[in-house]
Amino acid sequence: MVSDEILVKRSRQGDREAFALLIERYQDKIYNLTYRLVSNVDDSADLTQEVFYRAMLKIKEFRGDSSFSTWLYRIATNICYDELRKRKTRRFVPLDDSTPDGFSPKIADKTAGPAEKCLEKLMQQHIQKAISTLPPPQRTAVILRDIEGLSYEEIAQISQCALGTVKSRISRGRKALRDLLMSEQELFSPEHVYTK
Amino acid sequence: MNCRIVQENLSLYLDGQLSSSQLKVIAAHLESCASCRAEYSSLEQTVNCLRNLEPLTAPTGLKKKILNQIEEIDEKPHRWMLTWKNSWKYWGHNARKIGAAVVIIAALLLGKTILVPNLDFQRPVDLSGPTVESGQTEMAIPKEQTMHTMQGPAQLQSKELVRTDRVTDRKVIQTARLALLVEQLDKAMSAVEELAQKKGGFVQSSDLFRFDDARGANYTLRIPVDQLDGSLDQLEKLGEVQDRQTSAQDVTEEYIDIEARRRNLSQQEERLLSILAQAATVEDILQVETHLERVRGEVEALTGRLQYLENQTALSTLDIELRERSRSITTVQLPHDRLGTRLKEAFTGSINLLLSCLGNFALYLAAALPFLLLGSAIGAFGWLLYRRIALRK
Repeated sequence: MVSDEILVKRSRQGDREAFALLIERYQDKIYNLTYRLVSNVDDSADLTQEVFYRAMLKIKEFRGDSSFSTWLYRIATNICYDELRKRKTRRFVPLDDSTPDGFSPKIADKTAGPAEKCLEKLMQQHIQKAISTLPPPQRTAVILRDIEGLSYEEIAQISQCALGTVKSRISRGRKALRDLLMSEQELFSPEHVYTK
Repeated sequence: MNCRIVQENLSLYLDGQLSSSQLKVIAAHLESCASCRAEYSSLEQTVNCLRNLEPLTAPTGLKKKILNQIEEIDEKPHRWMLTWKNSWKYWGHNARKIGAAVVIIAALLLGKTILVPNLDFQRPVDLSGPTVESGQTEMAIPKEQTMHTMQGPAQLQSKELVRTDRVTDRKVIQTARLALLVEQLDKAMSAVEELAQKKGGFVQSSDLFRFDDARGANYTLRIPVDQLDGSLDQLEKLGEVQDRQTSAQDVTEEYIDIEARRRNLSQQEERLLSILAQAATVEDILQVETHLERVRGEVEALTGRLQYLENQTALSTLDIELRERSRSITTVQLPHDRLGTRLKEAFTGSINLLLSCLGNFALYLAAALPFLLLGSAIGAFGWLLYRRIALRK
């Protein structure tokens, strides 16, 4: 596989195909991140588009101080923060209750009926709702760590803050989420708990 | 180790983000403490929930949409996007005017090369198409070769010299991390800030946070490399050390490598410039320009990376986490899960309230004692008097 570095270099020289490969490589990750941050499927598609558009405009400024993915994630979180700020002042967007496109719950038991599917769906929405109540910095840190699976160091680079800050944000975010999710114990009863 | 400290660190424990000794201590504590174990498993469950969230895939057609949007940049160039490549397309519309200008310039240049052949240039350059087209690869190699052959027998010796010279100037990125438990946060914070200044460094970022009922602060300091050890020793005196890590990453090789690549590219750039001065046709000029643009872009990127390395190696990065020792009121502990902590707090709170009530009552008694004594003395006297009068009757 061609490394990000080479693709970035080619994109800088105006190679659209190289940039298309980068989009292909990162669009799901960015889409996931934006959805988890803003909790709305339609918005996250628009935001993902915006992220790559801005990345293309600014790719000449990318100096390679960090990896390309870190840089891209930073753009994405900044764009999402702008969006959240806009919502606060301008409009109220209800939490999206429809499940996103391409969402197909994998259920351990293949014979699971509609009731289980429904519960599964409820569970997903429930978690997303809980995530959306976290203050944005904690939300970002927890999403990057537990959903996107990044390291503490990468998260510190993306959010441009000290390592210790990332640690406390993740700790606090997780605790708050735990308290929220545990308050509705029935969803966590053994038969509905996610296992590997 | 106290349950509160263990519970604060469980999230980091889950990710293995603690020193090995801390990990061991917490593992041992979890073995023995049921309430912390419950806390840990609930946290783990939450994290598993998040990890197992169904990953979404971007809607089909999103990539195309993005690419279309980017294409639009090309078609109507914005001012900030007027790079060489895009401006060409743009210029295409005004081809005649620009063509005329280019022809005039080319004629002037041509005239110069014909009238003053090879006077300014050390080496005649073939201006036929193919050489220019494959210019980059062909030009880079001969330059290197000539350099090597010129060094000849002295090559080995000089290489050694260069190496010993550079060993003394190793490029090392030093980072350190220190976690402290302090008695008074404000004092410790001002001490950290003062130290950063005194050592010739600065505070890169800082923030203050509240965790449960204890306060804490995170700092990222940039300190001159030679001051790092001294600073660490001094900082350790501020409180109880909970974690101390130092690491060093040697980037000398990368640095030298990038430097060499940049030098090579700069030479290439000069060469391209001299070719450009001799270029005769418009096509040649444009081709050389493309090469030149690419080389310059690369030089810039490498310079950026060099500056970054310079910065990282000149100053060491020091992460400090300060945490104030919490004045906890919990002295009674119940083996219970999360509800337990709340129960515990309510329970100890009530005990304290009761104790203070009892204390106040005792205080009241003590204060009232003289009056009570006097009162009872009067009462006794009155009673005796009454008895005597009553008996007389």
